[in-house]
This record gives sequence, C-alpha cells and structure tokens, in this order.
Amino acid sequence: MTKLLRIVTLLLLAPTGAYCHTPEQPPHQMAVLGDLELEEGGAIPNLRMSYVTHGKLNSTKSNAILFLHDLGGNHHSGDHLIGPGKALDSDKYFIICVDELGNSQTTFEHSTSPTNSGLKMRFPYYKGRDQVNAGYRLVTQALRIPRLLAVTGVSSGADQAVQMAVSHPDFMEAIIPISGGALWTTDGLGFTALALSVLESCSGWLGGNYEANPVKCAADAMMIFVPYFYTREWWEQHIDTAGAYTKWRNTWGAHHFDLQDARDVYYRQIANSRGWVGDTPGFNGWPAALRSIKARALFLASPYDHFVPRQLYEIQVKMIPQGRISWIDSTAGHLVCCDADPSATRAMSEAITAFLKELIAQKKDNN
Amino acid sequence: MPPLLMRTLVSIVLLLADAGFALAHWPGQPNHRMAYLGDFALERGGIINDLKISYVTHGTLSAAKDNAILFMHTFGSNHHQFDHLIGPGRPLDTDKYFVICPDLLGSTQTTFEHSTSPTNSGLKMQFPLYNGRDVVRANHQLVTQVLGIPHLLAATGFARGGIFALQLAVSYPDFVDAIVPISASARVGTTTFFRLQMLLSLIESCEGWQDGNYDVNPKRCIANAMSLLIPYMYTPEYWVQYVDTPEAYTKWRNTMGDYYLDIQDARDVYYLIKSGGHGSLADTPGFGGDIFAALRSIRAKTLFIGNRRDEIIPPDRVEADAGTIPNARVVWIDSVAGHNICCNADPQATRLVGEAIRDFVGELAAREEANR
Repeated sequence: MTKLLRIVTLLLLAPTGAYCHTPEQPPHQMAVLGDLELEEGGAIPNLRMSYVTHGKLNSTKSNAILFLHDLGGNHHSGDHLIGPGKALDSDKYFIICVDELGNSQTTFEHSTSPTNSGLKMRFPYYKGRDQVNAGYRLVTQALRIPRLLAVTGVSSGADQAVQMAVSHPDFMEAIIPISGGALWTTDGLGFTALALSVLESCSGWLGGNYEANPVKCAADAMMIFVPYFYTREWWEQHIDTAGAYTKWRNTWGAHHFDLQDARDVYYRQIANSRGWVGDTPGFNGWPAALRSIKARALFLASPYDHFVPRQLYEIQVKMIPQGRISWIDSTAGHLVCCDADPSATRAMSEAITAFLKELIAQKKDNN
Repeated sequence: MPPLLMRTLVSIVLLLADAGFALAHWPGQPNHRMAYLGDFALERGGIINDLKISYVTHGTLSAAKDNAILFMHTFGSNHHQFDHLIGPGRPLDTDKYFVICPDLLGSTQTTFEHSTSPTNSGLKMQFPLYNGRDVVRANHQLVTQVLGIPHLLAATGFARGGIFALQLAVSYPDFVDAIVPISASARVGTTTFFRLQMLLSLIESCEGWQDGNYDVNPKRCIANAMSLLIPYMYTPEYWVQYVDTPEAYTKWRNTMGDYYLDIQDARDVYYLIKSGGHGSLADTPGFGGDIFAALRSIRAKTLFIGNRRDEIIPPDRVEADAGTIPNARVVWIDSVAGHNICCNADPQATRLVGEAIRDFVGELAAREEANR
C-alpha cells in the first residue's frame, strides 16, 4: 500500500497542469508584437505571445528571469520551481513564463501557431532561433526589460536558453539549461523524422489541412519520445504493472499527449530539424558558438539522460567560458527537469538557489 | 535537434556487418528449405492449416545425431540473424555442429518465402491468434519430425528467441542439454507494457492499415512502428561512439532499413505483438502461473549472456532467472550497444558473445564426449 501511494503521489506531482488555472495563479497575458521576420524568409504577421509573470519587477529591472518550456509544454512547465521560497523565488525575482512561438497545446489561447493563426499549412516554417527571437521581443518590447538576470528552460527550452545566450550575448547575466543544451546525438535525426512521418501517414491528417484536429495522431507523434523520458530503472520502480502504466499514460495524456494540435506539433518538429546552436550565423560550428557565450551557465541534468548522454553535457560545459554542471543523480533521467522525482527537484532547486545567490553577490561586487 | 559532429570515424564495414541480411543468399550459404508440418492446433484454439516452417541448416549432422544446435531469431528478424557467429571455426562451428536456423512461425519479413504467417497464408485478419508456446512447439516439430533429431545439444536465441529457448527447456525438459538465452530474461522489463502498445497504436491509426484488411502492405506505417524500437536497441552513448554524423546516421538508417525496419509486413507484425502478449513461461500448463516453478523445472544447463546496460532486459531479472534455474550462470558483457550485443553493433561485444558461446558449447560437447 505504501508503495502504491507513493506511485500515485508521484504521478500527481509529475505533470504541470495545462488546462486549469487556480485562483492564486497569475492570469494569462497576451502581448501583440507586430510582424516577426523569420530567419529563412517569410514573416509571421501580427505575432502574439502569451505568457504569465510571477513576483514583482524591481525598480532597477534587475531581477527578471525568463523561463522557457519544453516541446509540447506551456508556461506551466516550470511551476514546480516557481513560487515564494522556491528556487525561482517569486518573493525575490520577477519570473516570466512564456508560451513559445508555435505552441502546440489546444486547451487555451496561446502564442501564434499554424493552427490558431488560421493559416494552417500556409504558415511559414519557423526554427528554434525564431522562437528565441520571439521570446526576446516579448521581454524587450512588451515588458521593456533590457537585460535579464537569468534565462532558464527545460528540455528544448534549455536548448533555447543556450541559443539565446549565443544570439543575444548581452541580454542576460546567466543561463540555467535544465535537461538540454546545444548538443544532441544523431538519434535526434531519427525521431524528428519519425514524428513527421507518423503525422503524415496518420488517418485524419489530410495533408495537414484537416478541420477537426486528429488528436490521436498528435498523441502518437508526441509519444515517440516516451522511451527517452526516464531510465529503465525508473520504469521498473514506478510503473511495475500494466495498471500503473495505464494510470501514468492517462495522467500524462491529460496534460501533455492528448491535448496537442497535430499541425502545430508538425511545425514544431520541423523547427527541430532546421537549425541549431551550431549553425548560428557568424560562427563556424558549435564550439565557436559556445565559446562566444558571455553569460555564466549552470547546466542541470541527470547523468542518465537518454536524450543527451553525459559526455555531451561535459563537452559543452567545457566550451562555455563560464560554464559548469550540477549533476542530478536520479533514475528519472531526462525528466529530472520536470518533477518526475521530488528528490531530484529538491536537489535541483538547491543548486539553482545557490547559483542565483552567487550571481547576485558577484553583481554587487562588480557594482 | 542537432547531431553532434564529434568524431568522423564512420564504420561502414560495421554497419554492413550489423545483423543478418534478409535480402540475398550468396554462394556458399545454405539453401532455404521449407518444412511442412500439416495442420497445427494452437494452444488457445484455432488451427493453422498446412503449417510451413522455413529454415536453413549449417554443417553436418553427426551419425549419432548429437551435435545439433537450434538458433531462434528475435522480433522481426529471420534465420540470418546469427550468420556472423556461424561457420567453420566460428563460435557455432560448422566443422563441429549442425546448426538449425528456422524462421519462426508468423515470420514478418516481406523479402522471401517464409514460415506461415497471417499474410502469406492469405487469411489476413482471420488468421488465428498464436502464442509463444505455439512458436516453440512448431520448432520442436521441425527438429524432431522433419529433421528426425530426437535431442538437441543446445538451443540458443537472441532476445525474444532467448525467451523461446527458456520456453523450450520448460516445455520439453529432456529435449535439450543446454540453452543459451542472449539479451533475454523470462520476465521482460515493464517498458514492454507501453512499447508494444505504442507500436499497435501507430499501426492502427495509420492510413492504409484498413483494420488489417489491406491488400497493399502499408510499408510506411510498419516502418514507423518498428522505428519505435530503436531507442531500446542501444544505449545513448552508442550514437556518440558509432553514429556520430548526419551522414553516418543516414547510412545506419538505410542499412537498418534494408534488413529490418523497411521490410516488415504490418499485419504479420501486428499478430507478432498480439502473440507476445499471451503465453509466457508462467502460464505453461502444469505450473499454476508460477514463473519460478517453471524456471526451477529446467534441467538444461543454462548460460545467460547479457548486458547490464540493456534497455529492455533488467539485469536483476536475468540474475533472478539464473538463481532459480538449477544449473545456470550469467556472462555479463559491458557495451554501449546495450540490448544489441549480439550482432556487431559493437564488434568487441559481439566477439565476447561469440567466445562465451564457444566456451560453453565446447565444454558441453567435451563433457558429453567424456560421458560416452
């Protein structure tokens, strides 16, 4: 019984609730930012970016932290790290949680995407750097904050945090990429292509020109990532029966797999295959791009992350002049980012708290 | 998500050597043979009419018929899967042993005429549901009735084929002196719960599947479904070490496609998954659902060969199996290839697998020689 309870607790902790705001949560906001020119040509007309903020911006505008969510996530994906007394302490910091350009969830009104723009498959192809630029525009133009204390993000949000430090080197004091970064294995080529193929061959996709979202197609395309979520040990420990699996699947379905728009997921996957830190204009490959980063960087990851093997984290941390990593030793693997293991969340929170404290102390010294 | 361009060593040779080729037989390879087993009653009811089992044999059966070894392939593979370990002087030494490699009942590949399956029987979705024990029993009949061999020196198999080796030793305790399950355990890991459900989900929602009643095999549907298995085949480090550029990835994917991912029949794989869900060691008649009772009944000497970094098979389960079978041990091989230690994904690991088999079977044969 104890074990069963523990599983249930874990499952309830795991997701970030996408579909409901509780009364004490900050209200959704929408910034209207005009046309966004895309790197590979084309423009998104009348870009809108949805977001929430936690805490208060101080008078010197020096306490703002930007949080970037994972592929398929939303502005709630960091909620487990945000709040009074938490790592991203809303008593001290002003935390901006944005929904990325092209956000793929169906349950709330969010940033411009192929589907909510009405353009469907005529929406221009965007890439990771365009998403980063959209976030940059939100912070600088709508919120009028010229420089951030830190940029953090989980999974592909961590990739974007690194990209932001390369593309906008003076925009932040620090980055905190969690379960992600600039480097992935070649396996990523396979699962990106697979996600696209699954959508294209799915009944109801209709070349992407559907009226009714084929929810199952989108869920299938998202679920191809499940094998990379945790370590084998995590599955053995927590999902030890078919019933436990069903419960896990349904919980995840309710906040992630089953509320995705197929077309928005398709475009988001294409973004994964078009551009990365290493091909940022002006650099000849990822080592030079990483060496150019001025921000202090604290990576947080499990050494058993199935998306990104340990050695890839170590290489990039070595390349970034002020880079380091805190290993979060947990069988939750990649999903240490996202509250799959409460003790990992605690360890991560402590590391972030200490890092931010150090950052502020150094800033004071410099002033 | 960008690939890391870390090293440029691309081993084409390696990729070509990876696993058995489905496409072609070349001179020197044994001919495909077909065994006709007549009407075959299935454990859960239903009958397969005129069951055919395709197979090849390597080497020569001794006069005493005491040198036969059975190899069973894994999910979606074929009789070629262990070709690199079979031959004169190789671990399964054809100068010494008579090696039988069948294609398992329900075989799924589209590139050659193989054992009876839902699709090649013409029955499509009217094909009866078979289970793992039916697969094993068909092999037993092939060996005893068609080849006239009453007793095997050893049975080995990779992954699912390794589970079948265990089942063979439980179902026919006096039939086999030894078994060598590789990357296998009697109880698979819990990731299996969703892995196979995901494959089914992808197949069922794919355009062209038509509830399984298609006339034209929806190749893309089944290639996508099979691709879901890739994360389980290797450790994450494998990609960094062996497939480290986009060009290397393309080569890897094309090769893997040619002999595995892109040559599957959707319906046959669908049935293969359904069959995997029913019938395990635990529900072998006579053991009351107790998997450990079934394992304790095994008389064959047992050698497990595994990798603690296998994403599918938890090492503690292998050790529990080995601790329960009266005469069993485990050889652990540490490799970035993860589950795929068998088949030259990591040649060093495969060499060690081969040596473990060579030593074990050699000892076994020597002991039997001494006993005569």
